[in-house]
Amino acid sequence: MMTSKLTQEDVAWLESQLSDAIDPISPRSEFVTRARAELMNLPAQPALPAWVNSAALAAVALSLVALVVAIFFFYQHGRETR
Amino acid sequence: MDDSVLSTSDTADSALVDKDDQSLARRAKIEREAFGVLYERHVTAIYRYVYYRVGNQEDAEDLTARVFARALKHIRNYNDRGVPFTAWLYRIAHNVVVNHHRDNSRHPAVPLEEVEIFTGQDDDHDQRIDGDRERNKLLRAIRLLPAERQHLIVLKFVEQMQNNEIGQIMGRSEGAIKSLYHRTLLQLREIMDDLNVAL
Repeated sequence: MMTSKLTQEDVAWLESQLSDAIDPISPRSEFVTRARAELMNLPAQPALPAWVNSAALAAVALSLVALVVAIFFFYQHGRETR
Repeated sequence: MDDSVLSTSDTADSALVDKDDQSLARRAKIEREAFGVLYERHVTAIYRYVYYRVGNQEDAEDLTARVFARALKHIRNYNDRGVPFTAWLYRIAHNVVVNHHRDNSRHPAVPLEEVEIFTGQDDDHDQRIDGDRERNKLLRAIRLLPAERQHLIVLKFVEQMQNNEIGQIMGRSEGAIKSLYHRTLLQLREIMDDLNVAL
């Protein structure tokens, strides 16, 4: 746990050091142009068919129902054996 | 005829350039050129963020390209729910950098002190070397901060953002950013003290 404190002078000194040390560097223009061209030429991702989302939702819902049924079954079974 | 086609195309491009990030992001789901405008608008900020996280130009370029490729791949999943597009991009950039560090944990990246430093026209060689040493120590200290705090420093000192703008990007309140900034400076000073002892 940190217990030391920063005074206003400490903050001012650190901020001036940071301002001096950190340059607002820029990427090389060749890189920017090349990367843009590569992005524009990337193959388009085919959209998932609409039924995929529905099927995934149905699968999740079915799993949840099965889980609830299983919990209920074991709960009842436990009570009967007691 | 050609002129009219060209001017129509120019008009379309300038129409895209005038749009805000959210509108462009919606259009980018079906129109690649809209993503190109988003790329041009944010590539420098993302490059700077990545550069100060990895410490060298080669990796920064490679990872920046990956960030945008990943953003393009997942642009359909981007939902504007009050979260700025830049926040979404920075999150991707953060994940790409984390993966990079994990993959290279056995082969650490070239530290910032090996990057060529612009020092202006100072004739006093010794003084310049001392200045460079201090600067490199501070840059090393920044890279030893937790990722979230590095992000804060970059947004504040490279992008010159105010606390409320940083809060929007990082998903925190202005007060929380102010508090995090204070803790970050405190930790930075402690790391620098440790580096002084180690040297």
